[in-house]
Amino acid sequence: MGLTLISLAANGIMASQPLGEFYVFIYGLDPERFLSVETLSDQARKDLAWPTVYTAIGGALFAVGGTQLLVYYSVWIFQAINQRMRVHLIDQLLAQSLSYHATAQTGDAIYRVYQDTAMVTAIIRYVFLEPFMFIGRYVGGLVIVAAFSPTLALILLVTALPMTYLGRKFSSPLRLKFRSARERNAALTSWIQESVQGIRVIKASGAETERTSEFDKRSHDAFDAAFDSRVSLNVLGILAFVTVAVSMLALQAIAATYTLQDAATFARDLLLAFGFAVWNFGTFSAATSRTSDGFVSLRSIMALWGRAQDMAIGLNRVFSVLDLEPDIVDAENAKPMPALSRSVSFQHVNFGYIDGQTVLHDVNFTASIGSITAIVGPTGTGKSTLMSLLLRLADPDQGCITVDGTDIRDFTVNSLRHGISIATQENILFSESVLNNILYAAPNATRQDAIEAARVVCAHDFIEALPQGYDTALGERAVKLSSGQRQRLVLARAIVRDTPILILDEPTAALDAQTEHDVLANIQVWSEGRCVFLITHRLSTIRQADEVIYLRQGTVLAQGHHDALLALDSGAYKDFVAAETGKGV
Amino acid sequence: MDHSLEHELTPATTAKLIRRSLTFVWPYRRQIAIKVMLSLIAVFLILFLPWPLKILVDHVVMGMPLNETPTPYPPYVIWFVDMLEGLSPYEVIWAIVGIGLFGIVTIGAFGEGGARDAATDELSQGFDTATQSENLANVSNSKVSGLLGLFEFRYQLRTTHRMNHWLRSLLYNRFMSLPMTRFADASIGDAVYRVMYDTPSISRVCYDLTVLPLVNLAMIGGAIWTMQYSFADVPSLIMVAWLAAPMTLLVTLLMTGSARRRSLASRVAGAETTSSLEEGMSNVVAVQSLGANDKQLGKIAAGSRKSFARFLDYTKLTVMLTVVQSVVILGLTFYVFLDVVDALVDDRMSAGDYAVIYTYFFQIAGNAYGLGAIWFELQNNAAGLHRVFEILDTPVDADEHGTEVIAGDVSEVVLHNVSYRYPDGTLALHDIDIHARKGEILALVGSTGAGKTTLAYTLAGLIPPSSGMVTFNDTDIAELSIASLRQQIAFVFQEPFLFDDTVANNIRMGNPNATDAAVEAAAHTAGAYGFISELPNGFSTSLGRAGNTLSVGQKQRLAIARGVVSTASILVLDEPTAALDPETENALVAALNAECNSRILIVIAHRLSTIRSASRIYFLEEGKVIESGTHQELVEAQGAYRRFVDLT
Repeated sequence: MGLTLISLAANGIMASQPLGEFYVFIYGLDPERFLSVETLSDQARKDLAWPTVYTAIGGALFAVGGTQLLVYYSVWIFQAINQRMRVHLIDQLLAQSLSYHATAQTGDAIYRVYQDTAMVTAIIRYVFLEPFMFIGRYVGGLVIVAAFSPTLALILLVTALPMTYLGRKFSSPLRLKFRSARERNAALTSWIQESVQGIRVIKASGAETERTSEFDKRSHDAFDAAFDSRVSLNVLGILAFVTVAVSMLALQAIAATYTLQDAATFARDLLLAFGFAVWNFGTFSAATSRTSDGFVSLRSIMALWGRAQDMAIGLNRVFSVLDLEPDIVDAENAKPMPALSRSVSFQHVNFGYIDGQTVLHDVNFTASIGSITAIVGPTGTGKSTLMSLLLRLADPDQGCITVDGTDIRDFTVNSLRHGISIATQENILFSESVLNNILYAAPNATRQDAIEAARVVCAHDFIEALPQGYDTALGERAVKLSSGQRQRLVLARAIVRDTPILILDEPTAALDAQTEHDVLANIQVWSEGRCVFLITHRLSTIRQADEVIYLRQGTVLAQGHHDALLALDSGAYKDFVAAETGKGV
Repeated sequence: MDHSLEHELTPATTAKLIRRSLTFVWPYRRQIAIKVMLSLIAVFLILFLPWPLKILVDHVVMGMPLNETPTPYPPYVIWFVDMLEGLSPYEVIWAIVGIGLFGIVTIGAFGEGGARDAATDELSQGFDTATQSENLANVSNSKVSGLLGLFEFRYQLRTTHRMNHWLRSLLYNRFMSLPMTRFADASIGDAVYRVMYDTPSISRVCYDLTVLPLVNLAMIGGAIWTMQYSFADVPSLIMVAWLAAPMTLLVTLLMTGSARRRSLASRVAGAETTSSLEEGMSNVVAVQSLGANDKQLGKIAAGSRKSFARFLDYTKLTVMLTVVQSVVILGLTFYVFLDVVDALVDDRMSAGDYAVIYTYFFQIAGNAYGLGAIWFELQNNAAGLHRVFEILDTPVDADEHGTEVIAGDVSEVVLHNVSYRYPDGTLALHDIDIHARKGEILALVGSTGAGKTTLAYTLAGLIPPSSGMVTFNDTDIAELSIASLRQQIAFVFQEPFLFDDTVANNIRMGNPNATDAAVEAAAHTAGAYGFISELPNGFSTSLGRAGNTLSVGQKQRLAIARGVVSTASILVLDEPTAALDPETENALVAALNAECNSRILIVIAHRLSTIRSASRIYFLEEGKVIESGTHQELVEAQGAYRRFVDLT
């Protein structure tokens, strides 16, 4: 198409050269006027204008329509891919065990999902689609130019060498710089997020200035890294351009010399039909337009190469998450957990988060159906960890946990967690309505169920007193509620799931005595036919339990009913109770 | 999330936003001026570019003598043509090679080939606003490459970065000094989005309104002037040259309104997705243990899908815009072509002019499109501006505070008739009168939701009372500077928050000047020394995100140590002991008792052992103080407090 236009416009109209047989045939022109003459008449030149315009309009419609459709289609398809990647990535991140989240930064996670998945689609486009297009155009240009003059084609070919050298030379430093830019950006995002999350502490400690100056530093760092990487990319682009431009200049100069000599083209027999047998204005235009197309392609490949270095980093970060095996996976023959009929039992359980550090040491006990088991002990002694193991947030290093005699590792993780409800110590509420917060993990429960659960934990009255009752929206940190109120919502959330096993981690820490008493009394009634675990160190709570497990430094020191343990003459438990009542001081 | 964002911004609001953004240019006026100069040099060079090629075509390839050209060379090219006078065609080729090499090295441009900024092709552009706005912060919009282009690129990038850094810091600062209540409804993801992704909108707008129009107009003007000078014999050329710019502009402007609305929607959806993602990640324990992975995932996936769908709408519009514009430009091109053919045949033009005309039309259309796109971009960025200014305009703590400074310690705190009402109208505190002197321990007691924490916040100046007044040493704390107020207060929150830093630095937040010995002593007092020394690197152990490796009780103790290490004259402990076992708590209370004669200690507690040692107890119910006195007095009074004690 391009050659046709050049032949008609440049050769015919501008240089008055006769056309090739091919065009005369295609456009049905009079050979007398357009083919077998020395130069075209003025009228003949003017007559060529309209065929040229038709051809160009056809080409343009095709090009504009095609490209725009392609743009829309590619946005659509890349979004679809991107969406899949994001979902997969989040799925993977959410499925990681707590040991992973203990070290990963939230901001980093967000950055990965947002920036880096975009990178994957970009890489498909830039690394797989476009290079093929450009290589095709380069090779095409090469072949056509070779037909005009092998010398020119050689110049076009040889130019690829310094380009390859540039690409190799720059890739490693570029990658390093892009990596550092990305990492610093992720660090900055984390920093902002942490600042907003911890705003109360920052204000109360008067640490605003320190935070701000540190922010200043980090933001500077991030921009410096971005500057470095982009300037490098720019330098690469400029060097590539200089290489290409010098070759192109040489090529044009040589082609101009050929026209001065009226030299014959290399494949003149073949080109005769197109009117390019001799070096003249038309030939010059055709040859230079083809070579410049080849050069542009070469330069674009170079630019892609530079960008690919950036993308490789993003890709790496995405795949590092996608390649993570969730620590906790279903056993091969895992089956769903049946309804609880007898007991939950811990058998010689040993566990540590990091190698060499023991959090739990040979823990042994059984909790039977219909009982409340209180797990008691000083801070940091492994009470919450014990319950995480039951939920399979982590697996014991040695020993096992069984439900009705079957190792919980033989159940599917999903069915196990569906059989257990937990009210965590950190009162985490989501930025949704009160009702949705209670129903968060019980999609099939009704509003009535939520109200029942709220009644059990004595939350119904204060919820009703909120501006929109159960439909009141809570902010992300739900600051409007007091700690005790939030705690009760978290309790209701666990109760409403109506599972055979219930874990309450410090359920009453933020409750006053009266509320605590009422809540516990209700739970005691509710616990009929279930296994309830209470993690606590409040005496008033402990007294309501059927069995007390006293943990100290990961070891069970005493086990039995509160009164029975107190009846013993001495022991760690007695000391603990003495301290609780203040008598030990 | 502020729902007002969902609404359409009127042109008047947009104009106001833009006017305001321009005030941010002033500090960078010198840099902008230099950038304009650099760009004008580039404009001149680009205008010169096609002429050597014309010489090559006309006088070498077509063999026309230099002085017989049908169209006059413009004055800024004539010196070069004069130089070539009398040279042989081969020598002319060499001269053109020479000037070509010069062009390549200085501006990285050559012949009619595009002179373009080599790195503008966006990096890592994703189809979402987050990555796009990151690229906004990193563009140079240089029209040339080569040495001049490199210089311009670096210069512009530095300026953009400096401006963005300044804005980011401004916004971050603002976030840090917003009243605590501001965060009740605003989510954290939204804050991150504003600081990271909305701020580049301002630098973009500033550039779009200063440099870009000047350069585009200069380019269009230069091209039209040259065409009038050289091609006066081909009237259709001149007419179309004049028409091209306004027509391209018109088409661009026609379609901006709805485009902007979509981009706004896409941005809001983006922030929403960031929010739910952030929430899911930071509460991963809750999400996992509740078996809610699928639910959380579904929520994020839906949000993300929504944001993509909106972006797709936006793309649809852009595609339509491009098609309409292309048709207009092509139509003009063909019209000109037919006329040019006549001119060529009649020898009013030469073959080489062809290259010049097309380069110039390309520049006129491109720059007119650029001008139209300015409006488009402005509207697009208006949403970002709105979101940035919204934060800058929210009143901050400091606005309500004076500048007085308390020298030395606070020896008396008094609350006079203090009431507090939440922004939603709930009355949390009702006519509270409380006083405390140095050396006293106050205990705030009451059932959950009675207002104890809110009272403590008010007393510490973290939230301003709705009516009444808090005084330190007879000075209204509203008169105090924020810095002076904060200096007097240490607050240990009920829910501990740790930063991603070392243990020692987390404790030292309470007092940046604390020595290592003081930090360790505070850890001892808070009962944290034991477990800290068992950590892999002791006090230098880095805590993960929000201290995830520690148990809640351990985090609480670090938070207490943070309060203890502070030398502030008022120390507030909000339920310090909820997560502590009795042994630790008793040790802590004993230690605090020992040092309380140098400060005022305010404790919110449930445990009797802690309350008993207080100098005075305030018993709260539904936001009112209903009883006060010592433990003994209140027990003997047989009132609400007595009932509370009996239950414990």
